[in-house]
Amino acid sequence: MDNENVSQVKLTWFDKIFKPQVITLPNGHSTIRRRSRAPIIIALVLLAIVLSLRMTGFDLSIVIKKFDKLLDLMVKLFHPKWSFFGKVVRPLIDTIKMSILGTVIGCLLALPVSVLASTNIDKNRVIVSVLRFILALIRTLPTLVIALVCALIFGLGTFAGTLAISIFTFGIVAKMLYESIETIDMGPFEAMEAMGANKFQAFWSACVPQILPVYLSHSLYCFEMNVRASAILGYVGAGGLGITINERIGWRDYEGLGMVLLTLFVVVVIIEFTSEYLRGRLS
Amino acid sequence: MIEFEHVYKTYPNGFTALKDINLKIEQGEFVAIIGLSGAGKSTILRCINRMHDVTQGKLTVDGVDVNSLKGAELRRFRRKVGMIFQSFNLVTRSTAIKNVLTADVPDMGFFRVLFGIFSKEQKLRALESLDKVGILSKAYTRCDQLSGGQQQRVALARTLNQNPKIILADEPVASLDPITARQVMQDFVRINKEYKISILLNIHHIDLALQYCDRVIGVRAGEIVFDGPAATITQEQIDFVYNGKKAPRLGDGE
Amino acid sequence: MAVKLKDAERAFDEHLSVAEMYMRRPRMWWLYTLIVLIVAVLVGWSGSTIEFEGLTVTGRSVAQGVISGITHPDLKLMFGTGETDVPYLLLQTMAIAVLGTIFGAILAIPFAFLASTNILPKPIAYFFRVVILLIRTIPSLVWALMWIRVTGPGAACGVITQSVCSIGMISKMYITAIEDLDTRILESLDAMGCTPFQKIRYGVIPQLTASFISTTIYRFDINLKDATTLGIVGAGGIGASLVQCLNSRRWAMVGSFVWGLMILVLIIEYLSTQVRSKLARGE
Repeated sequence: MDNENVSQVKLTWFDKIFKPQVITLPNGHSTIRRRSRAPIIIALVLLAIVLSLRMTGFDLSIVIKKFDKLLDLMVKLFHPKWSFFGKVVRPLIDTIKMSILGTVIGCLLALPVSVLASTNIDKNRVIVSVLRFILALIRTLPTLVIALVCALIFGLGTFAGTLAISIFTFGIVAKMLYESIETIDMGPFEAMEAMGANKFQAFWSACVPQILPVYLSHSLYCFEMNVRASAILGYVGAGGLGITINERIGWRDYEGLGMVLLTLFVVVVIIEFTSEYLRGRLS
Repeated sequence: MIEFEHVYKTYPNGFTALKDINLKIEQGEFVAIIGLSGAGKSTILRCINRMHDVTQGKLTVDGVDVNSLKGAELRRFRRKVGMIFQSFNLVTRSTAIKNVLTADVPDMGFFRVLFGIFSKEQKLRALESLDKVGILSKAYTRCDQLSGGQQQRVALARTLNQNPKIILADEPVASLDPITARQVMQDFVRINKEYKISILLNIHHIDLALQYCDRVIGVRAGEIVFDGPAATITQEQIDFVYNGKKAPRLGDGE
Repeated sequence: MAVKLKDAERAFDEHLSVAEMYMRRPRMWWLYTLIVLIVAVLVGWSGSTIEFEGLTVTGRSVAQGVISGITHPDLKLMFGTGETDVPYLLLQTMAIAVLGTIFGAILAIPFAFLASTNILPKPIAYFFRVVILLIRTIPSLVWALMWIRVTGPGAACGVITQSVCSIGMISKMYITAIEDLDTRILESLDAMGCTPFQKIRYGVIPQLTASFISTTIYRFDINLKDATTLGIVGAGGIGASLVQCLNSRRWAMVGSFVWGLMILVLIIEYLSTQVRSKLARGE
C-alpha cells in the first residue's frame, strides 16, 4: 500500500540525486516530500550575479559618486527648449512614415508565411519547420544591425529604416500569428469541406474570419513597438528622429534633446492609446 | 437512395471500423444509427459524403459510385449532402446569416469569395433558411451570443441553404441540454416531413432515437446488428446493440 | 449598429417577414470602405517621401560581403578565448543582461506597488504610471548615451542602462499581476488572526512569485537582444565589435559575430520559453 503511494509520484533526475523525504503519519499512511529546488536555483542565480559583476566591472560606488552628473543632465532634459520644436517635426514625421510603411509591408508579408507555418493548416512538416527556423533566425538579428546593413547597402536615409522595420515586423508578426492560427477552431473548415467547398473556399470563409481580427490586433501592437524602435534607427543613419537625437547628444544640447524626447513621448502615448482602444474593439 | 454493398473500412492505423456493411436507405427516410461510442456510427456517416474513404465494397448514392468521385466531381456531389456536427462547426465570430451564406460559397467565383460579395437573392434565401428553423430574428446576431440550441439551428439553416437531398447528422444533440435536444429533434422531424429530405443521424440516446426516428440501425463493433422500424425493436435487441451495457438515455447525465 | 441590432431583436416580437428582415440588415460596407481608404491614404502618404535611390555605389559589394561573411565566418575568432573573441563577448553580453534584468526586476517592485490602483489611491497610482510610461518611452540607446556621462563607456554603462530600461516593462506587467490579486485569501487569513506581515508572507507573496519570475525571465530574453545593440554607443557587449567590423568591412569577422549572436539568442529564447511554460503549468 505504502509503496504504491510512493511510486505514483514521477521522479525526475533531480529527485534521484536528492532523495525525496518520506513522511509517514501515525496511522500508517505516507506521502513523499520532494526536496525543494529553491536552494539550488538561488545558488545558481547568486553565482551568475557574482560572475556577471566581475565580468562587467560594475561598481555601484562610481554610480553614486557621479550621480549628480546625471541629475544635472536630467534637470536640463526636463527644461525642454520649446523653440526647437520646429526642427523636430520633420524627422518625427519621417519616423512615423517609416513605421507605417514598414509595419504594412512586414505584416502583408507575414500573413501568407504564418499560414504556411501553422501545423493545423499546413500538413507539410518540412515546410513548417523550415519556415519557423527562418523566422526564428530573423528575430535574433537586432533591428539596429539590420538597419545598419540596409544603410550600407541602400545608402543613408528613410528607405533603409523602412526596410529594417519591415524585416523586424515580419519576424515578430509572423510568429505571433502562427501561434494564434494554431488555436483557431477547425470545425467550420471541416463543415465547408463537407458542403463541397475546395480548400481555398473553405479556408477563406471558415478560417480567415477567425484569423483577421487577431491579425489586425497583432499588427497594431507591432506598430506601437515600431514607432518606438524606429526613433533610434537614425543613430545608424537610417533616417528619422534618431539623427536628431544623435546630433543633440553630440552637441551636448540636452534642452534640445528634452524637446525631442517630449515630442516622442506625446506621439507614442497617443498612438498607444488609439491602438489599445482599437485592439479592445477587435476582440 | 443510399446503398452500401459489402462495405469495409480500415483506418491507416489498422483498426477495422466497418465490417461488411449492407444497407439500403430510400429517399425521404428518417434513420437513427445507434450504438456505443467507437462502434462505427460516425464512420458510416462520413463514408457517405466521402469525408472518409471506403476500403472495400461499393457505396452508391442515387446511382453514383461515391468511391470513384474525384476533385470537382466529389465537391459537386457533396453539394447535395448536408452535414451537421456535434460541435456545430460555426464561425462563432460571424453573424448567423454570414454562416448560412457560406453554404453558397462553393458555387461562387474566386473574386466573389475573396471579397465576400453575396447577391440580394442569396441573402433572401439565407434569411428564408433561418426562417425555416425559426430563428429569423437572430439573423444579425453573432453566433457566440447564441445558445447551444440556437447555434445548432443556425447550422441546420446553413445545411438547408445548400438545398440538400440528404442530411447527415453526427451526434447533433450530444452537446445540448435535454429540453433543447428535444426541440432540435423536432426540427429534424419537421424538415424530414416537409421537404422530403433523407436524414441519417447518429445518436447516443436510445430514447430520442425511438421517439423521433422511423427506422433504427444498431451498430456494434463495426457490424450492423439491428435494422428495422423503431417501433419493433425489443429490449433484448437494444441490450445486444449496447453489448449488455445499459443503454444511455436522455437526462442520465453522463 | 447597436440600434440596428435592437431593431432586429424586436423583429422577433413583431414576427417580421423575410423581406422586412432583409431591409433591416446592418449596412457595414461603408465602414469597411472607410477603413481601407484610411489605410490606403496613410500608406500613400508614407510612401511618397521614402526616397529609394537604388543600391549605393558600394551597395552591391556590401551585400556580397555580408553573404560571404555569413557563409565563411572567421572560425578562429568564433572559438577563441581572448577578450576580443566571440565567446568572451557573448558572455559579457549575457552578464550585462543578467545584471540589468535582476536589478531592473528588483527596482520595479516598489514602482509596481506604487502604481497599483488596488493598493494606493488613484491619483498617486496614475502619477507613477506616467513615470513608468516615461521610462518606457525613452529608447534604451538614449538612456545609454546619458549614463555614459556618468560611468564612462564600458559594460557597466550597459548594466545600469538596462536596469533602468527594464523598470518600465517589468513594472507594467507586475501591476497587472498585483491588480489580479485574489483578496479572498487575505480575508480568510484575517479570519484566522494573522498579522499583516503573515498576511503578506502567506497571502500575497505566493500569489505573485510565479508571475514575477515569469516576467523577469521574459525580460531577460528581451534584454539579451537589447544588450547586443547597446555596444553601438559604447556600452559594452558584442554590439561594439560587430558594428566596427561592419563599418570597416571585415566580413569574415561580421559573419562570426552574427553566428554567435544568433546561436546565443536562439538557445536563450528556447530555454526561456521552456521555463516559462513550466511556470505557467505551476511546476
